[in-house]
Amino acid sequence: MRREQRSIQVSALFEASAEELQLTCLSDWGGLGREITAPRIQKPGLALSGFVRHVYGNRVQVLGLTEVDYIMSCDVSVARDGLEKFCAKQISCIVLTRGLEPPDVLMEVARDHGIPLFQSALMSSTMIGKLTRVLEEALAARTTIHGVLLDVLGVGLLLIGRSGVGKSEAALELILKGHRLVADDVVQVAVRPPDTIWGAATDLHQHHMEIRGMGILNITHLFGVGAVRDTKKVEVVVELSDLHEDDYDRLGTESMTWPILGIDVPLVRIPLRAGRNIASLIEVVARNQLLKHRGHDSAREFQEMVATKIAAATVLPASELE
Amino acid sequence: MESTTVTGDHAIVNDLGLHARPASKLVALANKFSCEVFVAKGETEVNGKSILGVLMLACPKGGTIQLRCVGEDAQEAHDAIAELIRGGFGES
Repeated sequence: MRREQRSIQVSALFEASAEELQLTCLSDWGGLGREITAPRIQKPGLALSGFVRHVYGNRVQVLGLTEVDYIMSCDVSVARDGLEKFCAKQISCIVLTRGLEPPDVLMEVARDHGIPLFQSALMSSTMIGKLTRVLEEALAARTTIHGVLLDVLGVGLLLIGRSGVGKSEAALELILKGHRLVADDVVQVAVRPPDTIWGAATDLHQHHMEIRGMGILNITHLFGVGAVRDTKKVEVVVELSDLHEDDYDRLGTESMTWPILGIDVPLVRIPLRAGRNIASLIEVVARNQLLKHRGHDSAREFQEMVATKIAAATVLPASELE
Repeated sequence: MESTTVTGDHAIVNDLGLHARPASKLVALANKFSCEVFVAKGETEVNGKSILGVLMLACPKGGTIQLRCVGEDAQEAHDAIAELIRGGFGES
């Protein structure tokens, strides 16, 4: 597993989301190579008056009606003074919302500092929401995992295990049962804040599987569009193991986890033995996970039942008997 | 069990790059060894024993891949695969 440290250049953000965010570039002032390293947006407000202690570099700054109106209402020298301090904080770029035109003093200071200026017809609140999501996606910690990601009864299930253990074969049987494939072999996973992991296939091998003896199969062509999906949250990891160990959880009360990018995902280990129908077992793992989502834990409830029964049946010591 | 890790960078020399046939040769060879084999290009690392992953790297001629073998016979696996890559997978 390899973890990547992410940042995105202003030019890449603009190219990828100009349409969604309705962005037009007013002037790049040669600063399109500036990096954005945090998904959080800032709306400067008070900072434009010169209080820039809480303005952070490498972030997108959104200027709305409040800011533009403030700049316009100030004396030009006062406005320039505030903007100079603001732009000196190495901010990534400035986005004007509501289709607002930049005041001349803003254009000049941005030019002097080489900070790109964008304009959008969106309202500030809409822009901040959309832009945060776009940046969270782009800046999320991500990696690739060797395994198969499936949607089983709506539960995102990641199948792992050593090469050749039968992950793809089990996945194919689940697809035959009507479940859906997200990615075979190489699963790209990314953190979606605050604490969920989402997985997808790469563009190249999306909806394809390799089955030993048959080669590469196109699942959409074979089973239809209902047999695949593009992304899915990873909710449980199932490890197939052919090692003969005896330390499997017999009660199902131990909560094991498998860390992905620092987030612990519930783990279920299934030992492979001749005569076990792995696909059916995996389907039951998904059903059990659904029950847990609804607050029922079969193993724990059973254990409590036994404990109650034992407590009720406790034999009184002889001294207390007449 | 003794576990060794052997890594190495290798340039793809055949004209068509790491396309379907070379990839399947690489995977077939990797599967002859008991150690784990990983192949990486840039930031993406995939399992060298599965064809989809290796194909996904879509490595062209002149590109470099990193080989990482982990396990008892890591050295043998690394050397055999490196030899296959150096020989252009038997292609021109």
